[in-house]
Amino acid sequence: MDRRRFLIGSVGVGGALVLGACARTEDESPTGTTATTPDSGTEGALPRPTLSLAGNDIGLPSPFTYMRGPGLVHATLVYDTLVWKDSSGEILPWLAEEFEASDDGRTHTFQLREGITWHDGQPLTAEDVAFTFEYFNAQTLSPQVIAQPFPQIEEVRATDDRTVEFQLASPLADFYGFGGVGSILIVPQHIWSDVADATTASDPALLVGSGPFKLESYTQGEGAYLYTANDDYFLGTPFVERLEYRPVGEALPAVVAGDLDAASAPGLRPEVLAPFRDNPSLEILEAPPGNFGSALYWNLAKGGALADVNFRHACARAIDREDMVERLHGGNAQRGNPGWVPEGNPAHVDVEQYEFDRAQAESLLDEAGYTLGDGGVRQGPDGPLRFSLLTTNPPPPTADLVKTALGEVGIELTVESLDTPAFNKRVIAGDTEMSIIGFGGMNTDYGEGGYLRQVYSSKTKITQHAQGYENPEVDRLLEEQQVTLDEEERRKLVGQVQELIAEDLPLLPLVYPTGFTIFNPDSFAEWYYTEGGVASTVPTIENKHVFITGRDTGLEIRPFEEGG
Amino acid sequence: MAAEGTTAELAAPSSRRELSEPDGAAETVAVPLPGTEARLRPSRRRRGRQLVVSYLLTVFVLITANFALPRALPGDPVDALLSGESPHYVHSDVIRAQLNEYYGLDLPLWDQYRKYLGDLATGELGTSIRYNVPVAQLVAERLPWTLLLLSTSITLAIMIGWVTGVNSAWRRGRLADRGLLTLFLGVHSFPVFFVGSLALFAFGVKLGWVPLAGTRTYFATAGGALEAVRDVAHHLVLPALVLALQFATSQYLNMRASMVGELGSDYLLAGRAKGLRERRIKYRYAARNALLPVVAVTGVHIGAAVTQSILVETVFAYQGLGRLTFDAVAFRDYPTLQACFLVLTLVVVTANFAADAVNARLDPRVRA
Repeated sequence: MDRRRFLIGSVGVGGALVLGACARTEDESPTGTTATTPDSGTEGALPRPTLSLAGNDIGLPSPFTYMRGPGLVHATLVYDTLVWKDSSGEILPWLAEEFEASDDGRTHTFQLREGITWHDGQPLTAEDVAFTFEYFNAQTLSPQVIAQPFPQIEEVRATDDRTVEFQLASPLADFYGFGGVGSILIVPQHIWSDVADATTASDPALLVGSGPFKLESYTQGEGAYLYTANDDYFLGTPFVERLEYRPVGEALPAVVAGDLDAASAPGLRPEVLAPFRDNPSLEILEAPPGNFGSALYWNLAKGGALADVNFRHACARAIDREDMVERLHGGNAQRGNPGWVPEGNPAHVDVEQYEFDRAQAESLLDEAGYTLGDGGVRQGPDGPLRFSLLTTNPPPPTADLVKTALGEVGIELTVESLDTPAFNKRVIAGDTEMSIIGFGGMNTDYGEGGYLRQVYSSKTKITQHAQGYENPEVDRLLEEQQVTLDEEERRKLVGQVQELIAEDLPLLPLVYPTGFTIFNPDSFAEWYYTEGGVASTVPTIENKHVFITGRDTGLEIRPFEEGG
Repeated sequence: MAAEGTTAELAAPSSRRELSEPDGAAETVAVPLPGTEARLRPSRRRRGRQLVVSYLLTVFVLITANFALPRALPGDPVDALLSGESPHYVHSDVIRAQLNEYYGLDLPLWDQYRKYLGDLATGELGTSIRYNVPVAQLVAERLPWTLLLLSTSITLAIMIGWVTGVNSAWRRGRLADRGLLTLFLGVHSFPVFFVGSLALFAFGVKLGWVPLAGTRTYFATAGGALEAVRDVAHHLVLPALVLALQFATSQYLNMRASMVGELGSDYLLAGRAKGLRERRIKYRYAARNALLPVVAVTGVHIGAAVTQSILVETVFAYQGLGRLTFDAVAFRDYPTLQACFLVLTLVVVTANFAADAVNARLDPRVRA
């Protein structure tokens, strides 16, 4: 981490020195979600590309052993889902060519395409789909796998070879997205039915999918993956021939060196971006805000000032989030939103922003009975306002700014930074006072409601959960939006939640750094950020749709010349 | 070591023996006079046995420490599996309990320890919690890279350290000596990861002479065996040099100090009087005698080099055992950590053992 910052910083500083203060002629690149690509349909055949991307170990990319969001993305190369998305975020028929829902939203019928086969030549049938959901539910799932069927799915039944019917206990707003069918990878029954414990199965020979790519090699621990195109893919021969995931120390310099074709990083300062902008052989793609973020948490369960909403409001007013955006990211970030949903997300509503105002913060504290005591630390009824600020190691740069800002108004913080396992242990055990926790993917479809529920409902339990927070009205609204099928109605409920959580403020999102992708357009220029996230949940440029079609929308494959 | 045949060579060790003081009494016994060989054998065997027993004891203590240390870290493997960034890890107590049970983490520590010892006795290293593959497989993939890195850099370091040490002492106080001393102390005073990062930035990022990371080029399609060797060497050169430079410093300092101690010796004067060439006096006479204490501490320094190789492998993303250890700590992957520590400690203990054995061969005083 340190070295990465050092290197990126050095690249940036070095570049800035060489290029002077960098005339940013193409300032303010388009904030749209797609790169400028030639018009689809009118172009001639292009050479068939091999793409190199940064490799990290995300486990064996089986639907049961991959790790984290990037792991899910890898697994989607080998396996398919019933529906999928292109850049527009529209649900596309994928393994299923047609699908329909009953009026009550509890029965969904999918008609599979004809003639789909597994990589070993066996036909993919409705039985496999039914098996997949059953099999997933039978697993003692490792917490590493993020896509799991929702408990609302009551039964999945193959009514004939190509028809499968889902019966739900209650309607599920997110059914075509994450957690419904949008990210459940269909696996072959004839391979997995004999495997008792899929979460510990580590044989690459098990990776027989129906997907556009096959896993050619995987180097355990190093994170080197090689995928080759499945030329018999049901949508046609994929546009991209090979996908190489190479472990590199530093991804951005590796793009400059030509070792990688694209790499992404969040919150890069303009002076760091400048050398890439000025490099004529590279282009930059900007992600919609909210791919990443971090928030300041108060553990309400600890009582005292931490449970006092006035104290939290005062803290929020004492912290200058605009300044964080400037200082840490040179403007390349969005200010954290107390309503959590980033601006630009269709579910976003305007809520109280707690504009920076130190005087008001002080008077709020005075009114709430926290009087200035000795040594500049305020005293409350439960003792002095001294708290530990728990962070991961190394501490994020926001930690120092929060500590200083609160110190100015008489709240003393001690930064305590721990590595991930130790940090998780403390957070899960509720052994925190104040903490800074990072998260990602707030701008995805899942971020519209499901994610909010995970963070703010008292019925859920994740690392980013609002600590000790319980508001029955918020709980009720979050449950209700889950089963509300009417989109407008659902967004209204989600909007009400945002107002309530901004008022209660169990956590204050600090900054949402902008994501950047730097790529070499000569090798591949079609990169896009999928509206709402890949598999409705992962904010990344690696949507297999673009590897298959070489376009940003539709299922038509761009013509290519072999041997390019 | 050449046979103690010529008068010139016999003269050197004996003159040294006279200089070195208190254990003179023991030495008179230790001098292997012809015909005393048979009498000495039992004691030598006993000493050998003691040495083996003490090393076995060391290994047992280390094995126990390898078990205890990872568990002393805050947080456990299951905590590590929950990602900080992702909202999708629902930490249900049920899943947690099932995982603990599966990996045997729910057993009392004493039972875990007994199982660990029992498994070790049968050569079973267990299954990695992070990667779900036998740890033995991970170690077998990574160990060769570490051995390659270590052996290359240690060989380089010994060559650099000894030659510069000898010559630095020979020119004591002159410009070359002062320059070398400053250079080595300068390099040594920076932590190895800093020197590594700096070297990577200069030669990797700026000059582009060496690759930025890894042990080899992934998915290379063209080229034969020769190209593969060249590729591995290309990836090896910078991490090996950085590690070698750190290790060479201690070799250099020891060699220089030891050599300075020899400078005024009578046997050198005798050599000069016989009209031997300077080069021969420097390397065959002085350096040869100066070598003893240097070899004696080399084992200890190899231990330090193994530790530093973990840092070097991390900086250069060199996929050896050190890098595996680093990742295993981050994931509290107990079985992998135990195995990595075990192998690394065995490397250190073996190096010490070898250094002791070589020392015993070289130095008649410890030979008995």
